[in-house]
Amino acid sequence: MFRFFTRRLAFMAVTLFIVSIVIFSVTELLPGDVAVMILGSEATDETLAALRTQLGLDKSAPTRYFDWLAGAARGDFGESLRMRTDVGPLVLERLKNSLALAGIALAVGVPLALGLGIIAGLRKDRPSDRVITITTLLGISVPEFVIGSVLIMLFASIWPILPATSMIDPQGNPLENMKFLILPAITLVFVTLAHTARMTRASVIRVMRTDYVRTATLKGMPRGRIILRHVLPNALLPSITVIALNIGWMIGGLIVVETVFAYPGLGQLMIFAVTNRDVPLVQAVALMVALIYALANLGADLLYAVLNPRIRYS
Amino acid sequence: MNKLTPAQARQAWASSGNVIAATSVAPAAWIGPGPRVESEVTAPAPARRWKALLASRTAVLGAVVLIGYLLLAVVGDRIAPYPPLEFHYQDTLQAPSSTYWLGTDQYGRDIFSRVLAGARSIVLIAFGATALGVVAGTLVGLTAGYYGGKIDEGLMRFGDGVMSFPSLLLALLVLTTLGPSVVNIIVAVAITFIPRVARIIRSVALDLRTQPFVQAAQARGERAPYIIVREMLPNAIPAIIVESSVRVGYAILIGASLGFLGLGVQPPTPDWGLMIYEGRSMIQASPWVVIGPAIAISTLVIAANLFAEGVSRVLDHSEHLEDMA
Repeated sequence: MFRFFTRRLAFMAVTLFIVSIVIFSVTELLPGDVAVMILGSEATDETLAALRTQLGLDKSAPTRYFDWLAGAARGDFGESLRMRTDVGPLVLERLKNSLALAGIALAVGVPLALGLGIIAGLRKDRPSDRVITITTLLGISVPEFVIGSVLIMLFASIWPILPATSMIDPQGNPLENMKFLILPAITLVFVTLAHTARMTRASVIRVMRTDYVRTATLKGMPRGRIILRHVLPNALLPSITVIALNIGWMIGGLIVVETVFAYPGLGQLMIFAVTNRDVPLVQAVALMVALIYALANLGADLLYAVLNPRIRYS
Repeated sequence: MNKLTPAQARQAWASSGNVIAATSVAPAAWIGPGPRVESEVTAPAPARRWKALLASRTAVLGAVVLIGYLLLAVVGDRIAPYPPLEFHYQDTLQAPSSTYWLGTDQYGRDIFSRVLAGARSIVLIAFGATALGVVAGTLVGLTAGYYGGKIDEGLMRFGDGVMSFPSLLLALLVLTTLGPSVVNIIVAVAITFIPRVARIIRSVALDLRTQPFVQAAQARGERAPYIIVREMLPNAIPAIIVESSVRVGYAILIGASLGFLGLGVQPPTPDWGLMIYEGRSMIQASPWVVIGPAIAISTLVIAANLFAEGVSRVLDHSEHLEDMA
């Protein structure tokens, strides 16, 4: 187990290293002069040169990359080009808000998705399965911004019980005002639930067809016990990986959902940074998101290994 | 894979849990550059595949809707009842009526006309990004699978790194540098597809590499590019078709989201995602501003997913999970 853990950790370090290179090269090496972008095309050559020196743009790309990486390791991501504040604290503040939203969505969505997937899988082709299958097809097909807009129509205008936007104080505690989190959280749940539920359903159906389930049925084991003892442990194992992948979906979903509801999270900050070409901010948010995603995958792999000895010893 | 009756097809569609599909496709053997010979793992002849695909009502429905939107992309702005950019200052924010079927927006522009004309950008993104991403990903995958060893390891590790970004985030990163436009969205979405397509095609290529016809070509002294393109590529085509059909749905979703986030088509050109973004502050008073484009984008993705599911079922039964984010 320990060897598996260290190998997996090393793998994650390599991945994050590649990720940091990708982030840096995509944002800094492609065409477009940052100094011109900040000062505008009318700037004189001297002021441009001065700014380049100030930003370190006169150094070579590898030097700048390692400077950036060393700063990032200390939590120093430089200064935002637009907001003129340190990027690090800004990112952490928004991260807190996004984690609150994502946490609620996961806490509600994962049990719900597993439950619906299991019901649909066990009741394959019956009406309840049809309803779940069609709903989840909608969930994977309809974009988050459409679902969010429909929810606003339903619960903020037709039956006005919830606020249409979630503009909370970015610095406050997002959990203090739960009513602002409900609609964005439901949107996220709907989208991420669909994938997990569909995978779980497929997984349950696959296990129900195995020989050992048939043997258990033939030897007269009660159906409830078969499901608890044989079907669920085997069917739910792959769902762990799906949930980790779902975090990737959820990050994409967060970016869109936070824009729909004007919620001050990391996703909204990312869009601000991208539309303003605020390179240090883009880099910091991207690295933070990649780190969280890598940690989620690491956690899923470890949990999987704990629950499934076949992985651990291979 | 046998011909399915409609009832069986429905059952199969109901039981196949997801639209994401395709890893190992049994290759039909080629013996040198010559006639195609079915391998012992019988792959169905194209005609039978078509029949199976047509037997699935949901797949046919998906295909019909897709073709409809494809036609709209070509002629949408010409068959629109009003010019999509025309302002009607007397008729701002009108509810749907016999004059304006889907209502008007804050400038009095006819939403129905804008929905028709808006098909072009998203269809361009969907098919452009899929084509670019699948072609590039296939070449990378075949190369990695053919050479194996260090080249394979290097390409796949780098691909893992790229895939450890959620797709939308990677596309945003690319757009940060390229700036917003339809062409740049195509490039950005294609970049997110390349490692995912490459991984699948690589697994097919690993399989093909050990086949006698590849070994025969190597023994004849053929060069690597020839073997990859002439011997391996034709046998990877079923996997490529499945992968392309699955990718279209993702391309629409990511492309529309990027449009919604203001990084695609710039105003006043009609774009469904952008129309919803611009209309979201008016949802409560004038919901029709959003309803038209919302229905358009949703039906397009549903159609793409139904079609992809049909194609995956006909060409391949396996599922894979790695690919979702």
